[in-house]
Amino acid sequence: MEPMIDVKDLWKSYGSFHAVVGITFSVARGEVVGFLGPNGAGKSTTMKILTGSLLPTAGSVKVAGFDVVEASLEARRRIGYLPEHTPLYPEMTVREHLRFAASLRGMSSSRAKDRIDAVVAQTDLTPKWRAPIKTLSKGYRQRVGIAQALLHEPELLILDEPTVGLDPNQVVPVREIIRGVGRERTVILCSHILSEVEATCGRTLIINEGRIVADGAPKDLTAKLGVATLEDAFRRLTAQGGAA
Amino acid sequence: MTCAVFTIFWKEFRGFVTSPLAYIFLILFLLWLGVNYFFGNIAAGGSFTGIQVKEASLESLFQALPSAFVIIVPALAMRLWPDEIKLGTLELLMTYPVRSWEVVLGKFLAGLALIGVALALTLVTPLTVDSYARTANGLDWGPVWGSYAASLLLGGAFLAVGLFAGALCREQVTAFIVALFTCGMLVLLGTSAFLIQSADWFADIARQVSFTVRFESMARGVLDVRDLVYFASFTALFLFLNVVTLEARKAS
Repeated sequence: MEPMIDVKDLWKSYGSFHAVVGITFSVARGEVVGFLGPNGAGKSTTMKILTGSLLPTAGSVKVAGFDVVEASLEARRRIGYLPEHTPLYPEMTVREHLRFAASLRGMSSSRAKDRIDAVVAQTDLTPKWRAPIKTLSKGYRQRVGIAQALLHEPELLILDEPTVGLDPNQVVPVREIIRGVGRERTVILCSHILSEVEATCGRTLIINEGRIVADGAPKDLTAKLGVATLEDAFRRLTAQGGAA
Repeated sequence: MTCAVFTIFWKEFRGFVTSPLAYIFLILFLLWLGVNYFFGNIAAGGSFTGIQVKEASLESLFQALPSAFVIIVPALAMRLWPDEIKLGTLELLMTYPVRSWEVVLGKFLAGLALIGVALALTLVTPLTVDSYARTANGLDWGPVWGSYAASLLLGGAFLAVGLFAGALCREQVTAFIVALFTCGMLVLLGTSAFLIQSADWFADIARQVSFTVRFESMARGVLDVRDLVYFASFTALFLFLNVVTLEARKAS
């Protein structure tokens, strides 16, 4: 079967600086992949290219068989995306924001209503339904971000640091949502919280300085490197000079 | 009009009507025109009652309009892009299945609709003049509608400049100043005070490029296709540059 994501020799350069240096990987349908790497390793750049908000310098990227440059709209229709820092319109209420997203997704009003009800229940946003985004706590904002990403039942869900800045009480429900979605869809989870990746992802991709340095199930990675935890593996692979 | 254009339009238009800033600008706009009209007619007619004695003209109303638009329109346009860029919502927007031109057009039409509302509020003046002038020949509405059409075209052209400035600048204030300066030059270049002092060859160019001469002839009711084409293509050019800027942002 055609992979959900197919990245071949992807480059992204800013002048003489190469943020992504010829990476190649594919993700099968139904996989839940943790995308790890130190800050500035090229994680978010790769996610932005996958979701169409940034154009690659070279290489090909296909989502569900659609090239993200040539068939950008088709690819974007199949992706739900929570960008880093959860950008939302502060003046809109939760309801307005989700309606806005549904309308841009070209949903009919009856489908929009059904889906908005569904994601609001799924992310437990009912109590904040009429609240302006600017009055929401970080945890609720994050849920709105996830709700808008799930709205159109995307084949591929990409979450860039969904639990950053949340307290432990807020992290658990967000993680539950990711696990639930991961049962039926392809999910890419960018995160710095390695225990979270270990707990939710069947596969880990580690990127460092624009290159993929590891690819495999978390427990295979640790076994291969002879280390106890994913954190040790991460440090071994990405620390400056390679020394852990 | 596609669904996405309408969605963006509605979001921005709501953004205008729910922000106090838009109302402040509307009030300042109406005050500016009102004061100019009042004193324009007193100067011309000698007294307030002179309005009905003098020909029922709205010339001084529309004379003040370009100067009002030079400030008001960039002020309205300045928030349309920098906010999105700062909040990061532009990035989210670009991952939805919408085309860049749909977003640009939606934002433009929202601004144009607000300019339309501002102009509609000034209809009080011609209606008043008409009611006073009824005993004489009444108000000749033909040139009045011509003036309104010219005003909307002028506002649209300024708005396109303002939007483009916003897409280039990250700061609202910078976008405002750039747009204010550009629109101001486009008006100043064609004022008679400026044209008289310029060399002939330069005055010829200025007359062609500037909005003032074209606006004044349209506002007098002279509808020349060349003026319409000029305003329309000027606006289209800046909207196109706006789309190019968005696409370039993705490639950067």
